[in-house]
Amino acid sequence: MKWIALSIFLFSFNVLAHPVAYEGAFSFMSINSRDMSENTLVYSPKYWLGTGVKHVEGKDSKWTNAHLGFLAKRWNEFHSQGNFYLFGGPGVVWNRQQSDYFTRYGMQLDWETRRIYTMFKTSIADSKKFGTEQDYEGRIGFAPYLAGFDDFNSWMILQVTHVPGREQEVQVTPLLRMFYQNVLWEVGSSFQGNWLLNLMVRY
Amino acid sequence: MKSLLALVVLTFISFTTLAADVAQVKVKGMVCSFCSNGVKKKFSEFKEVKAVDVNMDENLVKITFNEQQNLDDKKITEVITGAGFNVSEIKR
Repeated sequence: MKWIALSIFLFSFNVLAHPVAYEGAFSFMSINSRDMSENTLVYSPKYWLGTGVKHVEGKDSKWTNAHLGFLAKRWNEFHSQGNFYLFGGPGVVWNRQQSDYFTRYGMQLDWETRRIYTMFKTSIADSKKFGTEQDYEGRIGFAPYLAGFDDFNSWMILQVTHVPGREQEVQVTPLLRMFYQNVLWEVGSSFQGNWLLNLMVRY
Repeated sequence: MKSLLALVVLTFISFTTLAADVAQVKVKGMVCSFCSNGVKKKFSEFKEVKAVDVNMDENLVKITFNEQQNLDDKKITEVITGAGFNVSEIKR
């Protein structure tokens, strides 16, 4: 039971884009798969800070936590951008048998051009009753065409997740990412047959 | 002679005013249109701004102002920085 709950929680660490946005922006993110759904609302009072709340529902447990994302370093160049983020927050987890407080924290590194996107992220979930576990996620993406500011954007992304101790420790998921103006979608399926449907909207 | 002088001065003032109606801002880090949306949205909130065009190929934000209105370089830099990018150059 412990690893199932933690796996659901760690799976919820997926982020669709940067954990922070421009000053005054609200971001709504929804990540949905066969085993869980996650909804996050984040407000960015500064471009380097994201504050909000995240709710995750799995088959056997529910998780709600405060979300804090911090842009520790950004490298802005004419043809690329790199970022280093720290994120985390306290929360509550419960299932039919028990409930507990938990904390999560992690870091993310990404670098992208208009053609290439790379990302690495690791997170730790820590709960007295449910234990401690770490996950790793890597992404590499490619834009088949260069889209302008007002164009419809498409990306092909390969996502690899590794959660030690999980039944399927490594999952490889090809994704198709599309975005237009302030709306972003991702759709894909892992080679183990787990589908993924994500949505992100910024206001 | 006076009329000619007045005409020259008026023409000069008109051209100066017209030239100040557009600011072209070179921006660093603007590689994703989804993330760059904040630039357009934030500038559009100013009553001084008539239109905002973002050119990803040239890393350029073109701000067209309403007649006899403007934003100074400091404010433009503030908005771009607040959106998470860096200003390289502002041309008027």
